[in-house]
Amino acid sequence: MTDTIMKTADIILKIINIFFVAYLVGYSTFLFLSVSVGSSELFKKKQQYRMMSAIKNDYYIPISIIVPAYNEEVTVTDTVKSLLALDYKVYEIIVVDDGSVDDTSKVMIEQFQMEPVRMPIRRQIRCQQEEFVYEAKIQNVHVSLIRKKNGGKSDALNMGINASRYPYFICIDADSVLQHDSLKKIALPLLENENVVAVGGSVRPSNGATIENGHVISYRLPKNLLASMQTLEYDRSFLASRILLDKFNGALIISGAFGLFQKQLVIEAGGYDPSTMGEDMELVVKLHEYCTANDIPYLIKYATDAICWSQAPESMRDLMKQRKRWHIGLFQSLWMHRHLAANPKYGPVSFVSYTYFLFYELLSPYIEVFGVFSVILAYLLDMLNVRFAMFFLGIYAVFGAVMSLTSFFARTQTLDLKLSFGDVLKAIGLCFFEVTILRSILAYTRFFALFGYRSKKRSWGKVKRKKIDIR
Amino acid sequence: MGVEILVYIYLAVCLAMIFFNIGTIIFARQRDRANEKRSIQYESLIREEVKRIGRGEPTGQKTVPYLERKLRHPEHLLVFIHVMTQEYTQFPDEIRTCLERFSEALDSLSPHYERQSDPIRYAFFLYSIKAFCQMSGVMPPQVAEILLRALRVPYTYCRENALQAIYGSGQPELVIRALEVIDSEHIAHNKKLLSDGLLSFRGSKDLLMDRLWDVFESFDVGMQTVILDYIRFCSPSHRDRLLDILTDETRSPELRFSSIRYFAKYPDEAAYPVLLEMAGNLGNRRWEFPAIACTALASYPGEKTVETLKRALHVANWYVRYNAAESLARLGVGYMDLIEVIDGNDRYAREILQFQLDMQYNQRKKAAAQ
Repeated sequence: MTDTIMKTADIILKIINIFFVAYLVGYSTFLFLSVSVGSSELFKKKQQYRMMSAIKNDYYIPISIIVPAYNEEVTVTDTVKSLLALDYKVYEIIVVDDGSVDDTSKVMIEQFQMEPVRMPIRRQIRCQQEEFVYEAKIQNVHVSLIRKKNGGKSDALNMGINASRYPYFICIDADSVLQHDSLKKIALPLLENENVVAVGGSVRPSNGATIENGHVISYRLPKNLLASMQTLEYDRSFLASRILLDKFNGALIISGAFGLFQKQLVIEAGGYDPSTMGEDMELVVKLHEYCTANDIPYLIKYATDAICWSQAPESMRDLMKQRKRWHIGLFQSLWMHRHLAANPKYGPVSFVSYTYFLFYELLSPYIEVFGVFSVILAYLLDMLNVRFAMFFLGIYAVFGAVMSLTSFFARTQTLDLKLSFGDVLKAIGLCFFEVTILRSILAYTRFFALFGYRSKKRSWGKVKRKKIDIR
Repeated sequence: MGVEILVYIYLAVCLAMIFFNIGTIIFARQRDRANEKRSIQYESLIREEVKRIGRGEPTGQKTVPYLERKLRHPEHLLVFIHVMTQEYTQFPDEIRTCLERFSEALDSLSPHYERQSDPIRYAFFLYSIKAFCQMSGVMPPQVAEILLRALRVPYTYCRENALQAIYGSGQPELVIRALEVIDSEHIAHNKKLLSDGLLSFRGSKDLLMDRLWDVFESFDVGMQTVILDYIRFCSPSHRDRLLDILTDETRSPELRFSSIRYFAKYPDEAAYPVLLEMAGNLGNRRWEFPAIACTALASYPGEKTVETLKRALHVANWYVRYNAAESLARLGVGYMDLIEVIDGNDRYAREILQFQLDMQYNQRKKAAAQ
């Protein structure tokens, strides 16, 4: 009897073993490919600028910038000021106050001396009713403030789309700062290829950066260790789920912090879905689906050099809240568009992108926890080579850390950000903590994220804001 | 055993990545240092040549073969252009002569760079052609052929750098040939890049526009729109031709939209009744006709304009109403003249007009405060 149990346990553990080897090989291959392809792409882009392959004339595509804001009285005026300093000729700024309970609208009206207007809004996408509209023309840029009933971020973005006057719109977060040339750079893919319908910008944590008129005048790794680790994490994931997937038009996410879209197509596809928390991902997946279903030739691109500086949470509580929200959004997007799974009609978007997000993002916390239990079970049954397991774990941690470092150095080098020797040492030290401790904490957060998510519908998932270091 | 192999693979990848990181940092530093040295070398080589020119001596025996060999490397070419451009600001005539003397070396670079599999390097070579031609003021025929060939390369920046060099040449015939290549071979180059790019043409714009009209009918509608957009930015002297297009209903709508925009920029008596008719009558036309015509009418103050725009405020299409209201506000039509709309039953017309009037009021208030 005991023999049979041991044999069954042995077979089960062998199957689990094979599964995990395959899972790890899959992930590490993806990580290695993304870091090497991503780094080479970044260096190629830098080389392109050095070698004068740049469109330097003033080719301007009119763009509406939509800034959805909820209780952003601390940061919203700085964000708008940074937008007014952009090196671009034809654009407008639309701040949508989604029924804030603080003084978001008041600080905007006072700071920019805005005047009330009776703006008729063409409702091409459903959204909550507006309460009032203010406008101002500052340095030849038209700035609108629309205060509406609370309806969530997606609803605020839909209002912004309805009120916008230009054929392309950009959504940015109210705590983000765009680099002075970022509009020019995010619009470039539209000039390179007329089938481009959406372009993702590159988001970097602003903690540690000092920005003057849209120019980074000094950069250091943030003093806050959590923010520093997130910088490493952002760079690695940027190379993975952005540049690599971009190579075969397979990007499934354009960050809500900075993305450009063709307005008419987004309207036809139904705009942002107010029922999801991951409205940015849901929209991109929806665009893939809409264009494929309607035989519309389309490209979703990444502008690696269009930089948006965004605040990373500095407390573990805020970070966990943010990641929980992201995980719910990921689940909702993948679930709503589940027919993309293993569907040949969608090609690599289905077989590579969707599969990656399903197994290595959505299910990873559950698979990881299952893995930990298997290791414990194997140990209890005396089937674990502890020495080898520790060695393997160590090597795997080094592998992850080296990949993070490579991404980080590739990004800082190609953006011409000068790092002090202290920052280099700090990055080397922190990358191990990031792949081991931070990753485990975030896996734990994501593991429990889906419990009771329905009650969080329409929530903004706020994190504590502080003033951005803008001069 | 299989898992051990996996561990060794991980280790190998880690080591490779660490070497890659260190390697790129060292490479970037070495390259910058080397370029500093190269810059000094080229500066002394050019200054030496300038001195020889001053003394009436021929080029040094080793100079041309040295340049032929070195400039095949893009980093050398990059530094060379940089130094030449700097020296040109001080000694323009001498540098022009230098370029003539070095022409043999520079000509020899074309086959090398055309063979490059890396389009960034080739695009850079095309940029260097533009820089040299701007300094020398000459575009030899064989160089023009290289630029025309580059238009067929499936890389935006190769085409764009080649076009910039062509515009910089100031030769209308070469520009026409370039547009013909793009048009006849259906090369996908953004129309906005083309129309805005033409504005950087360095020769006689009038001559170029005359030549563009000569071949206008041979192009397809896309390229014809590019030409009309260019003409709109350049000159008010083409009203007759544009009026013909505006009134010719057999023409493509895109061309007629472009001609409406032309008459918005350059008001014309003869075009006025046509615009009035277009703005006031949607008929079976596309909505863009009345919408753009309503915008154009802002340049034609008068009673008829106001009446037409007021009628257009009631059109079902959003853009027609919006543009009509905007034009009325821009024309400064008073509140009393619009009372029938503001007090009328058409809520859509009223709202859009009130918005535009609010905007105008705010602007005037701000201007007065300043």
